[in-house]
Amino acid sequence: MEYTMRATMPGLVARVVVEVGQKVEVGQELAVINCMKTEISCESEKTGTVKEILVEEWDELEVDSPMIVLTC
Amino acid sequence: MARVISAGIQSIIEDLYGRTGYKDVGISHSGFMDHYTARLLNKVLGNDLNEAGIEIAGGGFALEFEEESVIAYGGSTIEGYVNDIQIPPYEAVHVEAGDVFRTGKMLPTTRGFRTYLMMTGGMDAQEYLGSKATAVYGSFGGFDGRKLKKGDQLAPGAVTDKNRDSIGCRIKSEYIPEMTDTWEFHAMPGPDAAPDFITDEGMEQIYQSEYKAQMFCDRAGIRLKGPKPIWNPDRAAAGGHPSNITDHGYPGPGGINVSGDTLIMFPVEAPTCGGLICAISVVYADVWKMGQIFPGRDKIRFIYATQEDANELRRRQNLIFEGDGCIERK
Repeated sequence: MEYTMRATMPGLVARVVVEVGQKVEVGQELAVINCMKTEISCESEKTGTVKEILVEEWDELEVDSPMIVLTC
Repeated sequence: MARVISAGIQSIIEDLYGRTGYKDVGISHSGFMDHYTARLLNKVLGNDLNEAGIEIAGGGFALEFEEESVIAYGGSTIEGYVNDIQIPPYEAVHVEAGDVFRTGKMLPTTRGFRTYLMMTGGMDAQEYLGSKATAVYGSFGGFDGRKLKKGDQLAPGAVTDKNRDSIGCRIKSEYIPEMTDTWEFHAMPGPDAAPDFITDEGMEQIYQSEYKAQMFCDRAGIRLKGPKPIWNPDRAAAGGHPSNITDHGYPGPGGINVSGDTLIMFPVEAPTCGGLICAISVVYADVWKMGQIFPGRDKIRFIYATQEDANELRRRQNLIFEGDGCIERK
């Protein structure tokens, strides 16, 4: 099963803090979005392994843009 | 009292007028970004129009009441809930001690960006230089001069008989501002317009183009993507970038600054002065729309307006708040 973490806010990708192949837990920060000069932590809703990272620093995100795919 | 359970990205205490009379010392107005919605909400609650309330950018806000209050919310299309039951916007709703107000999630279909939560009697916040408004970039006013965070204890005003009478009242639908993804702003030319800075053709271009809000949007400025301005060729020949001028006071809120070749809208916390031109100025009656521009998505158009148009639009908007004609009882 796969889980895709999506942007909850419009903004710019400040950083991605995980790597492909890394195991992550529910509630773990996977990336950070910058919206209105405020950093917003993007946390995983599932436990799994990072399969694919779909964004890079400075990418512009709309609400619901896919960011990181996990294999659960 | 009321306790912040979740603060979202930027929830701040603001009031209507903010700080006026201090631009000469570099203090911008502050105040509600969307002054129209906030006034409607104060109106329906029976509050003074300048009462302070909470401006919530992007949702994600929750507040637990520790004593009774009467509240109203509105602005963006994000829903509002009390104890997980959806409540209608622009309507005075009674809450008891222990009740929790929260906003819904932001969705791709959300229109508007800021939601306002007003309470009876406003907010007993720190007043500084004549206003309870938070100056985000000055770190004064509001709640300790900062945006709210989880655990903050707020002090809503007391419930008066007038407030109690407002329970069940709502704003008539024809007065509720329409949220959209394409905003039109009436704007007057200048103070730095044709022919000295931008050509006549360039001014026409500004009024005929569609701009898009960049991700760089906040209370100090909203950067726009759009066509490059058409500069007066004499200025271009003078050296430096033609947008540069001797430092002067900026019109605001409402000025449309040109920084290099980028247009920047000046909302309530914009710089008070600087050395770049302001080609057009949004009229006061339309400044509220800046608060509802969705970063990175919404489109913006400017409609030519004269000083007379600006006065008339402001007069008509202010008329809405005289008497109780905009309110109906359910």
